[in-house]
Amino acid sequence: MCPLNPYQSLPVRSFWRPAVAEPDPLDIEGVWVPKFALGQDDPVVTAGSCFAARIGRALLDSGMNWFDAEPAPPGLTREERQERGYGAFSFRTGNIYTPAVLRQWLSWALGQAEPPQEAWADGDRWVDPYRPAIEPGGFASPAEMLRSRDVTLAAVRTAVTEAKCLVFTMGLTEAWRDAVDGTVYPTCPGTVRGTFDAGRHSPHNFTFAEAHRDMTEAIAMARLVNPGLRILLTVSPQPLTATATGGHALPANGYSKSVLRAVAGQLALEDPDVDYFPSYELITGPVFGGRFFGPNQRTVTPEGVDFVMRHFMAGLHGLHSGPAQPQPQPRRTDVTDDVTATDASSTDAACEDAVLDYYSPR
Amino acid sequence: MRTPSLTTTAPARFLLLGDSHAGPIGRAARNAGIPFQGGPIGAGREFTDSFFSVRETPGGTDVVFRSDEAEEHYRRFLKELGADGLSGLGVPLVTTFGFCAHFVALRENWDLYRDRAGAVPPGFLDSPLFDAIVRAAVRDALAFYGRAVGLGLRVLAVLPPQRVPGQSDPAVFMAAQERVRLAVAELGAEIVDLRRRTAGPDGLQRPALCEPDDEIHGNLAFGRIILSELLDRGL
Repeated sequence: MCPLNPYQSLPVRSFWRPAVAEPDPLDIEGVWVPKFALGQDDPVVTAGSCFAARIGRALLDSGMNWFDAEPAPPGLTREERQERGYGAFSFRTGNIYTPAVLRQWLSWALGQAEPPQEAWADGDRWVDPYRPAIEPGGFASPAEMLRSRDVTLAAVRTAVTEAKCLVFTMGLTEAWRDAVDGTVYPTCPGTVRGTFDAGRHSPHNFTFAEAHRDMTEAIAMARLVNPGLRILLTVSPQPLTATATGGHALPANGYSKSVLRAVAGQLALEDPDVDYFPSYELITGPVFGGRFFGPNQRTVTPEGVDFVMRHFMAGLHGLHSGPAQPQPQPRRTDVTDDVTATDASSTDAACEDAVLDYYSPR
Repeated sequence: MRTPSLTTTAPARFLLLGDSHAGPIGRAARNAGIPFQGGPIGAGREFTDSFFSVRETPGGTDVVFRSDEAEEHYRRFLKELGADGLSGLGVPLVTTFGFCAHFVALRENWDLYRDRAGAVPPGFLDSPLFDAIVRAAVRDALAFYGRAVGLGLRVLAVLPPQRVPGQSDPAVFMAAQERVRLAVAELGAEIVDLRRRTAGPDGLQRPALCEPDDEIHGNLAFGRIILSELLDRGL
């Protein structure tokens, strides 16, 4: 029998009441059906805002292949690694809040533009204006800062070239621009580091068209070195800390997130190898009642990150994304009360095979 | 600080010696471009008792593996590291020796201690006798840890994947692993215990981290998690 209207043939997940309003929020499922497959060992590169810094380790723990293209040098403690910006993203750029800054990093890394050579003085140390937070103690000289940045640019190049998928979390539309060289700063000069110069540094709130253009160009640049690169866009659910627009932070945040969400949606519509993963909706959706925000109503709690990653993995595997259930043991040989020596030797053989396999030429 | 470039000529960050459970760690490091030396040098049952002897050389104290294959691998790794022997090792040692809990927990080993229901009673698994039996079962592995730590090396011991093959008793596996963990920690080695990150609510390895073709090993994804922890610890 023909349906009376198109809605009658839609799945349950397409209707707000049964898909969102009625289930326990933690049992909501099927929010993301990936456009493309991602294998367990496919290198995945992550970049973006603070929220993105939580994704790498979550991917690793989920069994995915998060690619850290700029691992910390040996000898640093866990705290020192974190302070210096290692292990947060696939390269040590620090937070990348805007599509413009992503495009800028890619243009420098892939030889499309020359990065400025300027270093900011900080006492007798030097700071990278484009990575102001990654070396708390600063650099000994501008040359050392530039050498360090070159390592990061090489890591960006390696990561983008070798990745199967780039996960980029867009965070903000507001940024600060430099009137001298036209670059975009990750943060306002004079906040994290540096000195604010009103004659040189100006705020800019990117429009949909600008953010869409920057993101499109960033993707095109990356695909020059990796034509098969797939892009997974997300929008950080973490609100802005402050707005430079002079307006209230609440609507300013609404503008930023709306624009970024629209850009992600538009790019996903335009390109079969660009997908959108709804981490923003999974944290900020009204049905969740802010439960995944910390006391400051900004920071996403570890439970929130786990919730998002559960949906991510469930989407990849086409599974229910509810709380983790005890898993059945993988297939095993039948066990009897009188296990024979042959059984024991089969595990020995597996171990020996594994050792041999390690040294096999690849 | 300038980050060293990660090429094959970069100095190794660690030496990896172990049983087959070392395989995923080494493969993960190789794939990530992390310079290191080593890998599995034999099956787990080979590294419990009587698997090495100590030798004094002009370069200092060294160990000699009784298995020709293990010794050959070990010498090759040392040569690549520019070390004459264990005491000359300038990088941390990562090892899985002694943690073949599935081997220690083979069911027939514990038949004598089963109750009428066929289970090894929890009281026995908590007993000093059980502790003594397990320590005896892996005594040479413990001796190796003691020797390596005694030479001033930084030694990291990696717990195995939480997989219990059909031939092994799960309760004994868990208890034996814990006894070995405590014994190795007492000797001064750092324990790399990532069960919170790798096991499911049932305490067993999550399927996503299991080698699909057998009942014992972790897969490459498991190795990646171990590697991330090693790097977090400054290796």
